[in-house]
Amino acid sequence: MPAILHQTMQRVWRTATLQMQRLWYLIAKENLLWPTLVPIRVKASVHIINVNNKPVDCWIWIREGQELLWKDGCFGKGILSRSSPTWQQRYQRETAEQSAENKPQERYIEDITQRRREARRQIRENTNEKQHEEDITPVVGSNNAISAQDTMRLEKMNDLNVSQNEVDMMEPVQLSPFEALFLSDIGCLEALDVSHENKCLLHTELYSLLYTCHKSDDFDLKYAAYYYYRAKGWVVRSGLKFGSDFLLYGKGGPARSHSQYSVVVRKLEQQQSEDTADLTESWQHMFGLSRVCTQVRKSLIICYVNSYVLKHQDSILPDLYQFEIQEYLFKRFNPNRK
Amino acid sequence: MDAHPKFHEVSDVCRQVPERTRPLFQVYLDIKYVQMLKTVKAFVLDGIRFPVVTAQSDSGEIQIFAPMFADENTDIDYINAILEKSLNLSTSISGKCNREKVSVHLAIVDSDSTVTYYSIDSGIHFPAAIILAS
Repeated sequence: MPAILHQTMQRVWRTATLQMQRLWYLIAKENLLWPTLVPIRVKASVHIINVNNKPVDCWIWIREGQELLWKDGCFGKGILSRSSPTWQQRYQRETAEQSAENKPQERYIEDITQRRREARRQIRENTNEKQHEEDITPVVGSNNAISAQDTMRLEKMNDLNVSQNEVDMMEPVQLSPFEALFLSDIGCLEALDVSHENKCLLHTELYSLLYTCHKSDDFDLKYAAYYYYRAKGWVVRSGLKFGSDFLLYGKGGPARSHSQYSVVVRKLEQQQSEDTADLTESWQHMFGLSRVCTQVRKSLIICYVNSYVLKHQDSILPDLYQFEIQEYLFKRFNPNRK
Repeated sequence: MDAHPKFHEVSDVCRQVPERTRPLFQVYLDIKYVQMLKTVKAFVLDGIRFPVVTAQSDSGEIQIFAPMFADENTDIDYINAILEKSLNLSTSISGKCNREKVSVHLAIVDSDSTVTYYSIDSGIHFPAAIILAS
């Protein structure tokens, strides 16, 4: 494409409003994976921490286009929310100058979690009181107990001292390294280095930076696994809270349903003399992982990744087609249980 | 990070320990603006140059949070040092040594800003004596 035409198209695209971008995207939207026929690129700011002129840590924030990224693919996480960025809406809802009856009742994931915890706390208190044979007040889910918590939360929110100018800026969306690489690879992310006057990072430069900042040596394996499950149509999220590497959600992501699978990524070591692979996990460790997953109604997937690429430098972007993936589903089975 | 309106609240501590800026700031934001605990402040532990976030719960207990990267290797000596220095810090904050009112927690920060908290303590007590019914 001629350079002048490319520049003209870029200029036209930048001036289009976000609503127009959304309209064009909706027209072309068909599947979960990006890109569509319309070249949508979201801008992300890359913040790098340098010590002795070497990058030691970095993170990627998005302030515009968050809705597009979340709606189709559930990319990113609000830094003050459980998944999609809802802190601003919740803060404005709580601190709005309205009576409790007239406040908007829109519910977010955080509200549901809060209600569930309060109900469980109430059950525990009632159970303790029954054991001590005392009078029991109030019952689970009563409006009096929950409204008291609402009042306390409102008081705490008012004490936060967040000005109107600051509310909009409080919660950017943060992309995990694998999400950023995936979006960059399919042409939907423009990574801008904040410390170098918003210089646009190439995909290879972004990979090199994220690899350098990663503190373990399995970054390329996890990236390959992430790409593998995303390409299959799963929404892939962090599995930190359950002791795994990733959680797999269906279409709609965390807002629609709980995850079904918990994925642990391991390197498949090949022995030089034989063809059989050496599995580097003890069964005790595997069963511990499986038990944790079973308790939260997830199935454990062990994803073994093998790379046939000989790299001179680890920070060079690998060819993903050179990775081999073998996955196994582990479920505890009791022969006596029918 | 400078683009965030609340970064100035921890910028002094981040300047002393720049390599832990991300987990420190994320934990600070989570404790103050999501969990909404009281008197949230950031300190650097003496001797080991490790940043922590302190807060006070509704019951008056001092809670100390040590931000950690999710993918960093743990070292038992390091954890012990964090625990010991944190308890010393709580004494300097409250002015008295009441270890029953202090709790130390690890705040594990993932690359997508997820924070998971774990409580740590120096060990378990002896089991309570079993009184046999006569």
